[in-house]
Amino acid sequence: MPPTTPATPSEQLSSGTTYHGITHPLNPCELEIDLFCKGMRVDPSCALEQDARFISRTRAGLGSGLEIVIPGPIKDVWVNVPVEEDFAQQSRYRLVLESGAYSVRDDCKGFRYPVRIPPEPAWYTRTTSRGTPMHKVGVLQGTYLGIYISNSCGFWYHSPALNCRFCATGLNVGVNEVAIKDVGDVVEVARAAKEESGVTFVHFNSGFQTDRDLDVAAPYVKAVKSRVGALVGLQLIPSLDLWKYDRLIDLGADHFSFCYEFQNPEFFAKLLPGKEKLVGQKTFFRALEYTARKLGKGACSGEIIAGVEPVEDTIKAIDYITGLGAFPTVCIFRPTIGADMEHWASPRYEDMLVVFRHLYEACRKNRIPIDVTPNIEVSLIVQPGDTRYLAPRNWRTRWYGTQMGLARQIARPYFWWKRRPKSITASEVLSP
Amino acid sequence: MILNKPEPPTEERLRAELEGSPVARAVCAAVETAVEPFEITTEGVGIEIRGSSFLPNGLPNRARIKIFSPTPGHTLVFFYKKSLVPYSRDRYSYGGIDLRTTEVAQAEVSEWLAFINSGLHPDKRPTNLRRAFPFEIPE
Repeated sequence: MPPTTPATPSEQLSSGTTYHGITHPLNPCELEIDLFCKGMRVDPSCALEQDARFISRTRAGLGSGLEIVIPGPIKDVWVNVPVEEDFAQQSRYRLVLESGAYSVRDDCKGFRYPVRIPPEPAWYTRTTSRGTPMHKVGVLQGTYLGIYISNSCGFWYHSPALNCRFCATGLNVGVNEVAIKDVGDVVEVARAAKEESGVTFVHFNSGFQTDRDLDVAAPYVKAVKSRVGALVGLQLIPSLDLWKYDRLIDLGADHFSFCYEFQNPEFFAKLLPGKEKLVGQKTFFRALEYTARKLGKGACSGEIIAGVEPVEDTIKAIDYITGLGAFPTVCIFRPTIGADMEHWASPRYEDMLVVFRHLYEACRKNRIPIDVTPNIEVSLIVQPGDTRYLAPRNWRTRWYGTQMGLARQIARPYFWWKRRPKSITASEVLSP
Repeated sequence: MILNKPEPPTEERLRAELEGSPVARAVCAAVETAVEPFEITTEGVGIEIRGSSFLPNGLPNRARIKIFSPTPGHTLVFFYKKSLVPYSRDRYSYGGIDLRTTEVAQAEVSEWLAFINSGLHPDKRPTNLRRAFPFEIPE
C-alpha cells in the first residue's frame, strides 16, 4: 500500500476534459462527492469573514473544510468542502461570490452550482461562564453539535505512536481546542446551540482513553440529556464491557457509532495500529452488533473510510453494517494536513460514485431509516439520505421513499419527546 | 537568508525577541546563513519564521516555526501551518519540541530547518518531535 502521488494540476485538468464522460451538470449528491474528492479553491471575491462559519479543525481533522449547502429538489445537501489541503489548491472547483450570491464554479466544464454559506452562530464568539470560548468547546458540523470530550487520544502518546494514520486528532488539542472539556461548559454550549441554532443532536466523540472511554463520556451524556434535552450520540473506542452500553442508554444515549474505518483486516492492521494492537477489529463488531440490537434499526452506525481500501471491501462493509440494521457512515478519505497520510492521493470520484450508489441500495434493501430524525445534517460525510439523488428511477425507489416519508411523520412526536430534558436517576459513575 | 531582515519592524522584532532566548538566537543565525529563503513574522508571541520557497509540487511553502517560552525553563518549538482561508483563525499543528534547556545543538536546528524547507513533510520530521503536543499555543 504505497502512498500514491497526487495528480499534478495539469494531470487534473487533462483528466477533466473527459470528466465522467458526461456533459450535464452534477446533481447535489454527485457534486458533494466530487467536492469531497477534489476540494475547492476560494476566490478572492468571497466575503467569508462576514458570511461563513470560521473553519475549525477538530475531530480527526475532517472538519477542516468550509461548510456549504447545495440546494436541491429532494433535500439540501451539507458539505464540509476541503479547502486547506494541497489537493484542494489544485481543484477544478472554485467558490465565487457574484451579485451577493455564492456559487461553485467548475473551471473545466464551465458549470456553475448555486450554494449557500451557513452563517456563523452568534454563540461561536461568546464565552461560557467559566470564560472558555464556546467554539473551543464544540462546533457545528452541518446542523449538529460536535464535541470532542476529552484530552486527545491515547494512541498518540505511545512510543512509537499508534495513532490512526489518517488522523490529526492528536495534533489539534491545545492548539485549536480546549484539552479537557468541563461538563458545565458543555452544557452551556449545548444549550446555546439548541436555543440559537436549532440543534437537535449533540454528538460526543473521543480518542482512545485506555478502556475508560465509556466511563469518561457518561457524565457528559447525563448532563446534556437532563439539563439541556437533545438527542445524544457517542462515538467512542468500543468496550467489551457491554453492560456499559446499557448504562449509557439509561443515561440518555440515543446513538452509538463505531469507527472501524476498514473492513479489510490488512488495512485495519496497517493503518490503525492502535486499534489493531489495543482494541481489535472484532471488538468494534461486537459492540456494534450489541448496540444495534439494543437500540433498533437505524439508531447505530458503523463508520468507515472509502477511498483507501479496495472498493470491494468498502462494499462488504456497507453490506455488513446495513445487514445489522445499522446505518453506514461512510467518510470519503481526506488526506488532512499534518496526518501521516497527508501525501496520499484523494479518492477518485468514479470509485466513490460506485460506493454511494451501493450504499443507497443497501439501505433500501435492509429498510434502514434515512433522514427520519429531525434536522440532522452531517457535513463531514455523504449521508445515506443524500444518496437518494443517486437512486435508480423505479418503483422500488418510490416505495422506499414513501415508507421513509411516512416514518418521518410518525416519528416526529417521538423525537420531540426524546429532545425534552429528562430526569435521570442512573449513576454516571460507571466503574468505581 | 532572511528576506525581510532589512525591514525596520523585523529588526525591531529580532532585537526584542533574541535577547532573552538563546534557542531563538541559534535558529535565527542558522536561518540567516541558509541558502533557502525565510521570513520573520513580526506579530504574535515569540519568534516566528516561515519558509518562503516553493515546494516540489509547485505550491508555496506554508511551514512555520514558532519559538517561545511559556514558563521559565521551558522553550517550546512549535511547527505549524496557517489556514489558507484569510479569515480563518485555525492553525495546523505538526507537533513540537519542549526544550528544558537553553542549549540547542546545531545539528538539531538543521533538522528543524530541513523540516521547514520540506513543507513539514513526514519524512523530514525532527528526531525529537512530539506530534501530540498538548500545550496551549498563543497566537
